[in-house]
Amino acid sequence: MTPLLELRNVTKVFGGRGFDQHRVVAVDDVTFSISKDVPSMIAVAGESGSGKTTLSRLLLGVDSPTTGQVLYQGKDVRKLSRVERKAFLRDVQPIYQDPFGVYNPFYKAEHLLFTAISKFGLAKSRDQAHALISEALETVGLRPNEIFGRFPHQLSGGQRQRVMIARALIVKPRIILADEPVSMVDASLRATILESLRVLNRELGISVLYVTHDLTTAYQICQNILIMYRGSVVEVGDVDHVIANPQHPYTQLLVSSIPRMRATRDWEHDANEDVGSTNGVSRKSFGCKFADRCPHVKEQCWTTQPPLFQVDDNRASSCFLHQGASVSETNDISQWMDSKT
Amino acid sequence: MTGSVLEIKDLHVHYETDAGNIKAVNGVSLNLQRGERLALVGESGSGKTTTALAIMRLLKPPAKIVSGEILLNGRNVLAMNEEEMRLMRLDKVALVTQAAMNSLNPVMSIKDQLTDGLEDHGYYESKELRRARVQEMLARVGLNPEVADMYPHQLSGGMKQRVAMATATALNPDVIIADEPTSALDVVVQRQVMATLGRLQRETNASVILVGHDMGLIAQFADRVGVMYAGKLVDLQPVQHMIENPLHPYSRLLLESVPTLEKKQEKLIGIPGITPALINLPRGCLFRPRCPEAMDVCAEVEPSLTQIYPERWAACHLFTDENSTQETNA
Repeated sequence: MTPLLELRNVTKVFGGRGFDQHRVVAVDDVTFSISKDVPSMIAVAGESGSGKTTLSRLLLGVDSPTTGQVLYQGKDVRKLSRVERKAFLRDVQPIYQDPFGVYNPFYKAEHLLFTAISKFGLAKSRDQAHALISEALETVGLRPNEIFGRFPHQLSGGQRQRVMIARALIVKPRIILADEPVSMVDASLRATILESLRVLNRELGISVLYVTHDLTTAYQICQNILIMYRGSVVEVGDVDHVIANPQHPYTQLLVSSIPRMRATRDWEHDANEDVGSTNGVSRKSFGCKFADRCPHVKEQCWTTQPPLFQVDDNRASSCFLHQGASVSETNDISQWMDSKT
Repeated sequence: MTGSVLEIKDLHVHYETDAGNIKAVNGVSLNLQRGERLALVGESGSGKTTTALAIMRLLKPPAKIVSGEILLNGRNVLAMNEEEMRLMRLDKVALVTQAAMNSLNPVMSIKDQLTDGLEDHGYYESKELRRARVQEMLARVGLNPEVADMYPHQLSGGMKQRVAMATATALNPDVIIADEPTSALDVVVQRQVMATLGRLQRETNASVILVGHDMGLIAQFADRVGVMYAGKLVDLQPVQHMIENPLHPYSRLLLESVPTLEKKQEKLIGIPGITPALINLPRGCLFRPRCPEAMDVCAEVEPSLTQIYPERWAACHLFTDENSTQETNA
């Protein structure tokens, strides 16, 4: 597997230096790559503050790692030549959470699309540009005549978000980094937008990194998933295995907290009121970050960081519960991602 | 459950703009029983939050309650003067919003904020009594006594949302309106906060109106679900029926668009089309342009909310011709 975009032992620290207590390790020694040959659909999930957005910002090159490297085609993204940088900017396209913030309210919506075309010199004439745009809009399920000539405020949230996906499409990227692309749109549109991401992956061969807190949609559209907790990857692997049969106690907590759509009132227990907040032990952990909330905490968890244990063929979990299972030589988590399509 | 606590009769709320009146709530009628948990769902702009705020009478211009009645314990809220209404809020009907946790005053300790509302309602108490009351309020929402002396920035989102809930339930209101109380929280915290809200409801036997869009959450919490579309209530039935056998085509599509963990879907299906502009409402059923089962009659006659089976109401022509009791909601 040749990696197109790669994180190598990347750590990102925000705030104070040294022993300053405001120091936050947003991403803690993560290594993984997105393949050049096989288009993948990977979910990065976790609660707020788990480092999932920082991870995608590092991949985009808008944040620089504190230690470690972000590599594009094997080269550090901070050291690319002008030509290479342009290729990088074209190959890796972001889609953000807020489809309102990216538009300039003084320009019509299509301005954004024409800009992308002129920046990358994708069309020779305005007519050709127009045709390109129309095609991209149709791919994401929009009627071009409903978009052209409209100002951003005249479009619905779902339309605005889909225009953003169309923009990402026009430049023909190889990777789309979608950071919570549907958390601000309605349930009825959510399905439509996620479906268009899946079409990009299946039919156009674009790799998608889907950053989300919503395990249900991740389960529906992705093949592989990384579960992050306070900057570390705690479980990684095939989404069917991870969601159907979570192995790490944190993943188990997350999956059990998803409200299931059945009227059985599984939640009506007072015990749920502080489930997973603490296990009653107040102690600073130098090992596993989940130690103070974990119901299965053992002495070694407080002192030693658990490695990723291989639990089954396509999955690893970073928990001493699996002690005895094999541990890989490298910490590259891509090895547990099954890259079938 | 003894009798209705809240009765909304043919409520109309308009947003008055230069372009015309936006009919945000367009003839909503419903009854809330004592101790009942009712959920209101719908897309953004369906009028669910506007309905909730109308009950609190907290709508600000350009929003205007045009007509209708809101009876709280038999008294019409809309006929009250500002002072009467102020006394009703918190005492009889309280609101917890999504932004509640951001509405705490950053420079006021939690204990002062908890008792602020009480003082507004004339509860001036001795220091000891006050301290005891604060402890009781915190215990009620499952927070430690130490929280009393803390400030909002020291609390997590879930804790702040609980403080807001403690404030809202301090005077044992008859109706608690929870407008997306957990949409800003992580799933684990959401489960905790909803469990707290559920227990509070059981302990005080208050009625709850939960406004939301997460069908899973609603299934876990509500007794009855009302689906709103374009300012109207189009489907209203007990939660079990709503999930297993929704009546209105819109409810069915809404439920089908929710991804589940139970089985992997080959294709995710949204609801095609967009909600109608609420300024010039077309004739007939407002959902017709998006409805897979639209008939000729739908373009002409607007269906009204009708009892189709016992306890199960829907506004759709699919049901009004056969096997219905033809009983229009008053």
